[in-house]
Amino acid sequence: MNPVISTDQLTMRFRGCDALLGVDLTIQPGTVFALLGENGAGKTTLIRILTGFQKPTSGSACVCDFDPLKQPLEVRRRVGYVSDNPALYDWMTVGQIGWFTASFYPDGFYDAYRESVAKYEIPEDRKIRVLSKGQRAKIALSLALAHDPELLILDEPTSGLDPMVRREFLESMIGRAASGRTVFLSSHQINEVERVADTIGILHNGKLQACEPLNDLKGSMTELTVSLDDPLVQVPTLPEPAETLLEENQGRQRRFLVRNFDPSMISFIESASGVVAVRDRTMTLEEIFIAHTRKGFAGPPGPPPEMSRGPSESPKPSTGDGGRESEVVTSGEQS
Amino acid sequence: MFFTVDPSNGVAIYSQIVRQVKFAVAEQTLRPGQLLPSVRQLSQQLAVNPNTVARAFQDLQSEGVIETLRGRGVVVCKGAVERCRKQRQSLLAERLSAVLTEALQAGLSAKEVRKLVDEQLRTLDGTIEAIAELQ
Amino acid sequence: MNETRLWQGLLWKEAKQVIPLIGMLLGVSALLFIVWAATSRQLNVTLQATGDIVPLIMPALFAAGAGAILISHEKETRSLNWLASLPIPIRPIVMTKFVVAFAGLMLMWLGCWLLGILAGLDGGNGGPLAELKQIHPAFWFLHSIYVLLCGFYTAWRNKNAFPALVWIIPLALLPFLVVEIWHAMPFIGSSQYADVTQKTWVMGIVTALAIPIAGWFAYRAGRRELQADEPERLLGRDGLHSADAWRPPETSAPSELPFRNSLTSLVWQTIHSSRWMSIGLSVPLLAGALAWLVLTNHLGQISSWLMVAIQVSIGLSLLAVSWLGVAVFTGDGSSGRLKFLADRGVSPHRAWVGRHWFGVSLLCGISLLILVVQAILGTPLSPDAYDRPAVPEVSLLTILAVFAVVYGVSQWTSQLVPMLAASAFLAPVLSLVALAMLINAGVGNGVRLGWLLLIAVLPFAATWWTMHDFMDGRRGWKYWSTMVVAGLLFSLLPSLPVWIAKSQFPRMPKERVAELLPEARRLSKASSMNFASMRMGDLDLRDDFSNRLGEVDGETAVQRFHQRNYASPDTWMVIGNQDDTPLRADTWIIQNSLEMASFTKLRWKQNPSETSKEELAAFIDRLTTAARRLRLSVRWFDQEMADYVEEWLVNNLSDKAMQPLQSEPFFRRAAEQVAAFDDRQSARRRALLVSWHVDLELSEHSQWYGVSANDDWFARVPLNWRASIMQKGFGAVVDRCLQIQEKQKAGGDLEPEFRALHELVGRPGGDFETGPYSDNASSGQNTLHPRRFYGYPAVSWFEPWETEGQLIWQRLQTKAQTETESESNVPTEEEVQ
Repeated sequence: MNPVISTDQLTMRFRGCDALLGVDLTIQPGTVFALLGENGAGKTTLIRILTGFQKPTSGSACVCDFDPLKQPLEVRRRVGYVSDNPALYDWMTVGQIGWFTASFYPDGFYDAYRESVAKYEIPEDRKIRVLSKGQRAKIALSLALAHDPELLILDEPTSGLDPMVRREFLESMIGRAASGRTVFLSSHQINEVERVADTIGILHNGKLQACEPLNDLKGSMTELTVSLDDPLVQVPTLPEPAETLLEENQGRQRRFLVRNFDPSMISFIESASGVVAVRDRTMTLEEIFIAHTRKGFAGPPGPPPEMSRGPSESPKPSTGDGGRESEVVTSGEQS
Repeated sequence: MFFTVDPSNGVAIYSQIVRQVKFAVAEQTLRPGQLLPSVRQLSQQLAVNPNTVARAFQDLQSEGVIETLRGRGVVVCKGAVERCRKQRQSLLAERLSAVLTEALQAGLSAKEVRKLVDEQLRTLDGTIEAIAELQ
Repeated sequence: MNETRLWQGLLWKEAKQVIPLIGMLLGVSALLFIVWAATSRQLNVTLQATGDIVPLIMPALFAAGAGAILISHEKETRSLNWLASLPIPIRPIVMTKFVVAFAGLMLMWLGCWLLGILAGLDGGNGGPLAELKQIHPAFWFLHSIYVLLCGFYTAWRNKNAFPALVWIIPLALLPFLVVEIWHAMPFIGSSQYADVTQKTWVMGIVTALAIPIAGWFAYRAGRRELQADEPERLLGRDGLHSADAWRPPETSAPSELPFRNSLTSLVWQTIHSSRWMSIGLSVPLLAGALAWLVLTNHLGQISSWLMVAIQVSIGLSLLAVSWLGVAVFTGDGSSGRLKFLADRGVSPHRAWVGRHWFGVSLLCGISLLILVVQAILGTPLSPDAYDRPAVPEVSLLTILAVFAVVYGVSQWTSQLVPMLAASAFLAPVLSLVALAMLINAGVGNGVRLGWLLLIAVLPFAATWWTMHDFMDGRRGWKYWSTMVVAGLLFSLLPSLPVWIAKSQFPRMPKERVAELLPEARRLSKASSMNFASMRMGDLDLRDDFSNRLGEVDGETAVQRFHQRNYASPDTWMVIGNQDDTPLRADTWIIQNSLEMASFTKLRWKQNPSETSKEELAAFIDRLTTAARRLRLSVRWFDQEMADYVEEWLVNNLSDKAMQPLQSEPFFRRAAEQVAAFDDRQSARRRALLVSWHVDLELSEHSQWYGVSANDDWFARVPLNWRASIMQKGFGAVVDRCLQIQEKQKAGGDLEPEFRALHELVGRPGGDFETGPYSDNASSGQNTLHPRRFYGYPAVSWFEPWETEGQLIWQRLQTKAQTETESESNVPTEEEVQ
């Protein structure tokens, strides 16, 4: 099956910063994709490009087999979009906005919408301006789902909402996934994301630092805590295929974030002189995310550096890494 | 039955589900022939991705704990109890091994470890009811 | 997806959004029409002429505001973003907005046309807006469509509503500019000779061409807005030009340290929150100031076209002043944003001052600019006395006061009405109405300037008072009551001095009315309303009136010229021979007749022949009859004229030179007439009472009996409300005159009474000594004194001539007695002989 979303070297530069630098994304149908990133990392920009609101500086995207730039209408017909704090027409009532939106979709929209609104127990004759935040979010969700879209795009829909509403959003996402539809979720609620996502993408410094199934991501990252009897002891480099992504020192202990760690490597480290103990722990998604977005993190190799303002510097990455370039980290620091 | 899923405790969600099903079968909370909720229902109930639930069910099926009945859904297999018991034992053995490793790493000798174990067994003896053997 | 359904949904949404604006504008225009129609009788001509503009203004306001409501508002609430995320093609979104706005505009025109017919507006010529009104309404119709499209264009292009509104102004002026340039081109001919109709045609064509262009631009802007955003163009290293080296580094804060005074920060915020807006508001003000300076300093005739340009500039600058006021409490001044300051403990009064600082200083700056330029230019002098600038210079205080009123009412409106699109239109309308009202009160009603200035301060005081609640976003009862009270006070206070003056105006007290009314009624019933008028004799040289005026047959003319007899009273005063019909006086005829009578007397004195005596006799007889018949009239004015005639008679009868004529019958008749003191008093009383009574009864004040507003009485009362106190005043005057009569009968000192009457009637002639009631006045010896006062009551009452008249009669009586005695003695003489 064709991927629901696929982008090719999507780049978006703004005057103050570079939001996206060559993002390649592929999302298979019937999955829940969660995009994590700091505020301002470029998640919303990416979503705007996918829905055809923004023309990228370079690169292309393909949503539901349509180009959002050339055929935005086709894309929007197949996509339901819920943004954070949606701006609905305040003066309309709940029923009126459903009727109004139904004008643009095929028949059946209005009934599905009313069903959904009834399920959420929101009276139809109430004006939107007097609804609570959670109710507005539910209305927006109902409007986005009433035409049974192939792809549901959610841009931080539950920010600021109470746990009940968040739970309801989760349930609808799961319902969509269970019916074989695709969900693209951009969120900060990492615990929710952990439950519900199939694939995770971490956007940082304009690049997709990670884009893999959740279990793979979680399984692949290990936190190693090595206790030494002398702070100046050199810990040996881990054998392939393990890679050290981040290293921290604190007195007689050293912490490594390692990808593709194998428990058998513990004995290898313990055998080194000066090493007292080694403890390993699988990281939570939140920790993984924070690790990916911390400075000094050596991410995956990216495209060759482009000519931007000023020369780029690349500080020596952490020891034991073989000196891989990480332009990603430095260009972000130049703004 | 009630499932509890903790996404952030380091264990994959699907294996948590698998483990809980196996334990439930071992404890006879889930009896053979009993119907489990469908993938969709369970995923909504637990608020987890249906693929995760599907994977858990797949694993359980491949291990012969559950089977799909056409038109009815997923049921517990007949001979699942024994299998689950055995599995539980091996799982417990794993956990025990982890504790022992920790103890040994801490510098305790094997003798001290055995002493600890005996102490604990003595304290616990009689307080935990063993699950009665059922048919 | 159903096409019709799509359009239906969008049209419904747009219509629901635009209807409040239509409703509000129609409501305000209906209100204005009602107010105007109700007070049109009392308003002077200028305001009446201005009222005709109102039906043109409302659709124009709608055209400018539709873009703000339909587009800017949606942008500000971000609902446009949400709409764009739905699968709607761009064309219906943009087109439905236009369709609905267009329909609304038609509705506005229709509504205003109907209202105009209902209120009975006619074209009306003249007045200060004559040039604008000469432009046919059809052009304004076209222009409003053009403005609508420009409004859409600016709304699509601008993020905020305010700059969008401000930018409409220069675009709307474009056709005028184009036509001006077109006519200025040498091959077209001088613009001074092109009349307004011609220019209207050209403007109409230009606008008609501009409409599709503007429409296309608006559509394109809408499309661009709704389409995917273009990526920003970033310059690589090669793209830097030399200018960049000079460009200062971008700093977001104005200086390293914050300003020392928080007010300065607030001013900085006002200016920089939208720089274009600050510019956009300052430019029309400057243009208006320039136009004003041209208007007050340009000698010679200003072409009607330049006049239109000047008027438009001044109008726009007033609009800019109003929008400065609106800007105070919208945008960053709206209550939601001010909460930022409130949360940080900024005192509401400081915030108030800070918000007003920019606008007030701009206005003061403009006023000072006008003052300085005028001081430099001086008063324009020209050798030709008729060559004056169109409008005289006004003082700084006047300009500031006008600004203050417009600005004040606008800022009050903007605090009251939170929605920008509504307040941006309501404010100019309300402030103009307020200005008109205050000017009317000051100029027409005679309200003092200090009072008006106090009223002008009201809106500022109101917003100052409610600032605290406003900043907290609390619109409770305290807020609303303050605003409503301020509004009411503002509307009512200008009329307050008028009401007070009217109620204090002297009138006949109720007891006197009760006392005199029955008598007046009785007299009125008993008197006859018939009358005869006096006229001149036939002095026309034409024989036959069928000839066209100016064409006189020479022979007939000479014939008739010779036929004229200047010595006969029939040439000068023809009164008919119905002896009992009351006569109506005509000042000029009486004056001429008296002069002619004096001349006749002089002729007799020079040459005492029989003919001259008879001529004199005829005149005096005529005058006597006239006086007698005037006394029969029930108009008080005729009584005064009778006094005039009788006074002349007295003066001449008591002339030593007339002694030899004492025995003549005409002398006797005249003496009898002037001696009838009691009859005279009762005739006067009757005339006053009946005049007063008839005036009461008549629904409209008529000149025939009482007094009209065009007479000189009560000249100090402002013209606007003079008509409403006329009748009251007349009653007071009648009362006073009757009191004079009664006091004279009782034998008191009359001078204080006359002084009071002098004050009452509005001090004719200035002081009492130079007025008609003192002894120095023309009612002295020389009745033909040119400073005689006509039109005032009791001018000659109880002067020496009245007693003199009685004396003449008495002397005549005694003389007659002695004569009869001596006649009876004559046979004794004969016996003696």
